[in-house]
Amino acid sequence: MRVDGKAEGPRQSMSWLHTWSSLILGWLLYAIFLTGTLSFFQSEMTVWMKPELHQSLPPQSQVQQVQTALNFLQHKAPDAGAWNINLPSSRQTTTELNVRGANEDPRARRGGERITIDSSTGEEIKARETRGGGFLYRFHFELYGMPRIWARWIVGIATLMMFVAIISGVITHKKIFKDFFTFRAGKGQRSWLDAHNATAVLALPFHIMITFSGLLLLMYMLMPWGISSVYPDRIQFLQAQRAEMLGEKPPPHQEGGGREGRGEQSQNQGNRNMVAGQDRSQSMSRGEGSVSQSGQQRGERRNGSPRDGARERRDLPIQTAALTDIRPLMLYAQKQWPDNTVGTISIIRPNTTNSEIEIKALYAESVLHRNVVPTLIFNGVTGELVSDAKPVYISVPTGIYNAVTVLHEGRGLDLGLRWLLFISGVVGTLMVATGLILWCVKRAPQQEKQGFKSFGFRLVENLNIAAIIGLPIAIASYFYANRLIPAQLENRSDLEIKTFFWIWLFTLIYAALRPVRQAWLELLTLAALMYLCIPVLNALTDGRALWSSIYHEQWMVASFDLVCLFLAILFIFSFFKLKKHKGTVKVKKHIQPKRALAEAVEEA
Amino acid sequence: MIFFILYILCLWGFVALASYLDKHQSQIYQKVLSRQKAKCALVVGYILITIALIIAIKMLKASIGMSYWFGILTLAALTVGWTLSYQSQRFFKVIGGLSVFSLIGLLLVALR
Amino acid sequence: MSSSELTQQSSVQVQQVPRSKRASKTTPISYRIQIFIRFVVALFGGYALSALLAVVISLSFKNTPTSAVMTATMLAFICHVCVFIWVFLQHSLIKSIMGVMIPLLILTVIYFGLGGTS
Repeated sequence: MRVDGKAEGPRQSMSWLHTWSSLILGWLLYAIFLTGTLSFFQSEMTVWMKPELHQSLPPQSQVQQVQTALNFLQHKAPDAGAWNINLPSSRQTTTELNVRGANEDPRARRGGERITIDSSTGEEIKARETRGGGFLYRFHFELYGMPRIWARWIVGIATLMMFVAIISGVITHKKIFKDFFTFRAGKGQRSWLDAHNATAVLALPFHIMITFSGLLLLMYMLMPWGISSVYPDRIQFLQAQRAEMLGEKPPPHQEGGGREGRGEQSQNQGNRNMVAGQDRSQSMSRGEGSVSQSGQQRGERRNGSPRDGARERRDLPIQTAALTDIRPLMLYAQKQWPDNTVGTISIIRPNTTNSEIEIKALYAESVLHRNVVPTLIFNGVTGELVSDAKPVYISVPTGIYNAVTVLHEGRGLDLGLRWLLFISGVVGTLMVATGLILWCVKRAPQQEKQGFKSFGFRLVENLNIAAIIGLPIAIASYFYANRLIPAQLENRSDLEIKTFFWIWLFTLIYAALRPVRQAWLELLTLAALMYLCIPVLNALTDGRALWSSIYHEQWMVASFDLVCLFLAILFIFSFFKLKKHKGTVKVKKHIQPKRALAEAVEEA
Repeated sequence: MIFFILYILCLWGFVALASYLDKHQSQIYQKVLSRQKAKCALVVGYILITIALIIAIKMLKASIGMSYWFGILTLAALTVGWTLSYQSQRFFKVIGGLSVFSLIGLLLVALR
Repeated sequence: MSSSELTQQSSVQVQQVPRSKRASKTTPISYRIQIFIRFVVALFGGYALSALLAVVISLSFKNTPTSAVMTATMLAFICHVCVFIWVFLQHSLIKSIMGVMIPLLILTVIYFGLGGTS
């Protein structure tokens, strides 16, 4: 948009739009991108933040892991309504159990008593109270300290702006193919532009996917009109979707149709592929359901469906019966799934005549399946296979939704793909960061020329520092708080979060008080030191030290320490790069008689 | 395992694609290639990357395969871009070295 | 003056921003208003347009409601972004406003035609 109102081509107008749509919410977008990227490994982060769990080193054999868990459960809760066993995996070093009371819905998503046990010894572990990686994950789309709806709307609008920025960026980038590999180092503004272009273009499919899916994940709030024009409420839509997937007739539209649908389904469950997958991330205990497809759990929250359990119990008298040996069932499952592993074992009504054993795989078959993993259901007493994995029907629109949301959330994905998504996320975070810095670098010569820094420029400079280097410092302080606050203290998770925000605020104040260049250098030093010492902190505060976690192949803990070291190196590298750089770039055309003034501005 | 196979293919695919452009030819080969060779390189590049996609889809399911492929493309493109800018004198040494490392990684995982 | 100073001056003059623009430190209010209007049209008008589009598409394919609804919502998001971009691509402010209002009216008519109740 030109001030003089002259016509301009699409590239120029899109350049203007790109700058402003990304700048206004740029710092929020950076925070969203960074915390979101870290959330790909939120489970691992939570494990690191609960050092009490590090002692658990899972045995190689899954059968052994299950046996240990079963021994514990038989001893602790033989009359439970259901047992859920989440086996250790690349993201979990302990065995997570969930015990449901006799009157609870055995397949409900929430509820039940959670117990963590050591995977090899079977003893119960009580870890410290912490939000873990879940805090950063929640912050990513719900921020903190404000009503959920407001936060989601703010994030939603930011996502829309991001989408606008991406499209306008692509339109304005003239030589997108020719400049694909172009990166000119050491040339000031040009280098920052090249870095911004490289990080944006080389991961462009990821950026488009993550932004679009971000909007879709909030669609029930941002764009519910399509759904609400056909379905009276969201639950009916979800049930209709599930019905379509399973090839059933959709339940009739009615108020309280939610409960009817559930009732039908609990009866059909023995013959159907299990649709409501277990969510294995510990930190997703609350609120996650609002973005999941499982219509069941929404109804569950209203009542734990005593009707269904009671109905079935009325039909058959409860008789105790020994649970069949799990070994052959596990071996059968492992044979059925050569490219997958067993993830969860649910035992419904254990030690009774109508017990059932469900064995669920860890990974979904494809990203088109959301919350659906291969499942085998056995009779709990005889061990015979009751139901097999049945193919589900995924329509094209549902498939698209599933694919992008699964990739966005990283659900049910194997480690390789998760790392690729993480790397792309880091690239995206750098894209936002380089863009913000580019804005300042581009206008620096003009600021020099006018002899003082205008308010907007100073504001952007300071916010850049607080966001780009301040947020990593705040996150590091969150980890430090996690280890330094005593494990027994009440409300320690709140204290950890408060530390995060206070340190973040401190970086903003620091940036405002110090000269820009000094602030960058000093905060980079602080960040480097903090991340460098994380492995030391880990070892000194009850965690498993890096050499031990590598030796025992406890990779989720080891990789946390290693990534922190890598980040420290990155900050150190940036520090020296900045130190070498002689301040703001002087555009060569400016042959300034005002050199002295320029230098004074630069020093300031 | 699929990670390494795709990475090596895409790495060389992007090297070939980069060889199509004059400015990168002087970085990689220290000379400008003939039009014919450049066009050849372009075709080879696209073929390698397409082969990577086909392998990804065949070895994993279609949707997971495509996601992997996109992710690897980003990584490979970053590698080639970085090497072109910072290590253009030792270009083939670096790319070759990375390929060897990936092969070793591939073998380690395959023989596990 | 020496030749180098002459070239200095000319090069300085060439890439200096025209005096008139630089002298006026404050951008004219009409410029700001224009941008504000475009932003409002793009954000709110675009949103209304996309929401209406979602409803119309959902109601048009009653045979496959789940697919229709999902497709409609996805298209609505894409529509909003495209409208946003389009509003800022237009040179004329009136054109950008009309470009959102007219489809809005058309879709409203279609909506009532499909038997939608407000």
